[in-house]
Amino acid sequence: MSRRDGYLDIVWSQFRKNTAAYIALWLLVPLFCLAIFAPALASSVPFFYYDGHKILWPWFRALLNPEETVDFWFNMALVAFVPWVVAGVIADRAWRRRGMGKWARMSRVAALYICLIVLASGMMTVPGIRPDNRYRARTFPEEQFRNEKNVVAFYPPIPFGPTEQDIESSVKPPMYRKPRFVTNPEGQEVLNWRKSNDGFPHILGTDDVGRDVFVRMLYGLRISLTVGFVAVGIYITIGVVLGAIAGYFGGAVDIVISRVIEVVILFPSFFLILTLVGLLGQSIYIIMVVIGVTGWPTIARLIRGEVLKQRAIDYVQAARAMGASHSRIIFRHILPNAISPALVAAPFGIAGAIITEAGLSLLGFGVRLPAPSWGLILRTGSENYHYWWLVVFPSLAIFVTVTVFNLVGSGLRDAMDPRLRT
Amino acid sequence: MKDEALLRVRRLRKYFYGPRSLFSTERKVARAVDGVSFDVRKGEVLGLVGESGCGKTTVGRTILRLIEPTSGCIEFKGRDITHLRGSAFRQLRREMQIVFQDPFSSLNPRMTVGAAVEEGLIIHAGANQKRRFLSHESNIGEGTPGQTNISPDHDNWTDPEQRRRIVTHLFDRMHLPPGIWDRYPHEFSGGQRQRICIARAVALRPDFLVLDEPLSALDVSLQAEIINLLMELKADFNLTYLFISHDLSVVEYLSDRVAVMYLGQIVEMAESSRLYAEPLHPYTQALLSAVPQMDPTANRHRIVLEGDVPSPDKPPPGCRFHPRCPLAEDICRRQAPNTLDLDGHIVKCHIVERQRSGEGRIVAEEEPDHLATDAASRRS
Repeated sequence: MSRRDGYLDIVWSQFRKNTAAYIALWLLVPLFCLAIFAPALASSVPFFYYDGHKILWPWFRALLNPEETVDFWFNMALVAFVPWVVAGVIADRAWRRRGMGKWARMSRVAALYICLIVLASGMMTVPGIRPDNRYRARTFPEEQFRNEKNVVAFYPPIPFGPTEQDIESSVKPPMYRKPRFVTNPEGQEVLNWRKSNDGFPHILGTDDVGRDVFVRMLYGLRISLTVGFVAVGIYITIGVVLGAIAGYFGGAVDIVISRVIEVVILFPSFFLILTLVGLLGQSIYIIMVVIGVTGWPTIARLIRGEVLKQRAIDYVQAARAMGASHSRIIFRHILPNAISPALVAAPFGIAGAIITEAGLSLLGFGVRLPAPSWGLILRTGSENYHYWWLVVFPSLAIFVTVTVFNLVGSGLRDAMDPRLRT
Repeated sequence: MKDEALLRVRRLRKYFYGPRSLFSTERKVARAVDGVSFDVRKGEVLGLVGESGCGKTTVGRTILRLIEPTSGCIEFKGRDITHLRGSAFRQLRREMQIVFQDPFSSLNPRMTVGAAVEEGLIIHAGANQKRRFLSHESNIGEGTPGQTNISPDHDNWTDPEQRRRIVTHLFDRMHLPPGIWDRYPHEFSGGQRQRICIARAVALRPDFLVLDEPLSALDVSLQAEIINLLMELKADFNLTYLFISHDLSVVEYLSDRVAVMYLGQIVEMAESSRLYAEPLHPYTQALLSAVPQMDPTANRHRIVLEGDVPSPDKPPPGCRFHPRCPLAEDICRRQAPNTLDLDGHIVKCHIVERQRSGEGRIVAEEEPDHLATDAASRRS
């Protein structure tokens, strides 16, 4: 630890000592990459398609016209990824030359990515710019493969989409490969498929209507991560702001907010979601918002206590004596010193939200079919335990993801131990 | 200029109220400051001494309105600031600053020291801009140019470059090492931190500075440096200090006048030389006799006070000092003493009053007690 270390450097060096948490943090990188690059890895539409006369780019059109809003954001993250890496490296070098600190650069590069995603989404929602999507169905090339001889198409490595059904290959075990020749009722061997990539094996098998489990899990990761981050983002924002206000102003404000906390903390969010889904219909957004709106009291309590502690310290008085406004004191002085409980709670909260979403989908109250979700795959599997791959793999995915987030959270908690504060 | 009162405090009270108990309407009232009146003249250093818990710090913070007074009146530059609000109040924040006792807690650990000192300039940038234009003509010929680069009338606080220049210059001025802008407080020693705190307070070019025991967290060699620094700054920036301390020798060295506090009240106040030469109040005499002397063989009569300072929520009736006073008489137990002004030497003691009432005049009759309880009941 050098003398120049700021608080984040101390936290980081403590965090690195925790090997399990350190590995878990790096595991988040492939996790996010899998979520972002899912269409590049697995999609039923080819990158390009040459029908003998002209080249079509169905994959890019499909990328900009997803069925799910969640997919749209992740697709935009995919679109913005390459420009971001280029711009990020250039900007980082410029900032480093200007002598900006490591953490300031990192946060700015992260902010740059968010800006690019928002920019891409903004552009792609303009109907004039966005190309229409004529090639959604998987059957589009297949029919033409059958008719035409000199057709060229290039597919992603796994040529299956998350929602396409194939009744011929329902509930097939892992590594099932569709036979090229099948015996028809007359006992003759006939050609089943010719040129499309149907020969690629279903790595983790298929579900009851022949959807590829691996691809569904890949796209389900997007939904899980979104639910986790959005729900936790909502409740941390509410919790931090209300907790800081209650702790800072005290008096009647504190009493009111504390009573609200005590009421809301009693809401069983899981059953509230069940009720709301019953009333409003199935939607992933209802889940996110309800988890967000019911989860904040714990954060608010932690922040309130921390703010109460910080408020009594002289630097707050010094800021007041300087004439700083309340919002300046809260957000620039107190919160940077009081935010660590919320940061520690965030990874645990994400893990909890992922479990809640999976549980709700398992019960059939979560994501609506045919959208991919780990809970929904489990639901199919729970109907017949013979199809073990429908139970084991989604459970493993939930287990790994939740464990990774919990490990990061516990590492962060140890690293942000208040005893380290100087 | 010397006699002009920059700050006038009259009958200042600050009561802290305990929680209401379940079965009675009475609340515990801690009378931290109970009727304190004094003036701080322009350009002087008023020392405020007393034991810990006597309300010195509360007085300092109440003057800055970091704590709202229960009653009383604070006048700054001839204007009542007790109930000031809004932009006038913010302007006041620039004119009065404070340096806290503990340099380890008075700097935000997550803020670089450059940002911490610069922040005040950012907050007051707009107001300063206005002031620059308004005072452009009237200020020509005033002040001593060349003495310092920092002049609110020529600096534009809205400009980051200029702010940086001002703060860097101040750090130099405080004998801090160069290039510390991006460092965090924990990288500095206590003395350096206290210099940063002083720089932060002085950066706004205040007229009045409350020094709330700025030396007591430092060791002696550092104390001397900081004292010299404070005196230099006072001369350069035309500052007026309220120096709160429990260290009598430091106060003697620094202050023009000294006020002695006991249990929320000023018991004696005089020119520094006069007070140290001829302490009148028995409490001051006891305090001074406790100051360590350089010469161990010197013949000293040490007055040892018995008992502890009574709790401010149950102040003794009559003279507050009587339970510990070696001279206490019957009247001390019954009646609160008047404030006697002996040609600028203010003292609050029955014994002194009886002996020397012919020489001075009684400033103010002690307020009847019901007024105080009135104020208390209004608050609760």
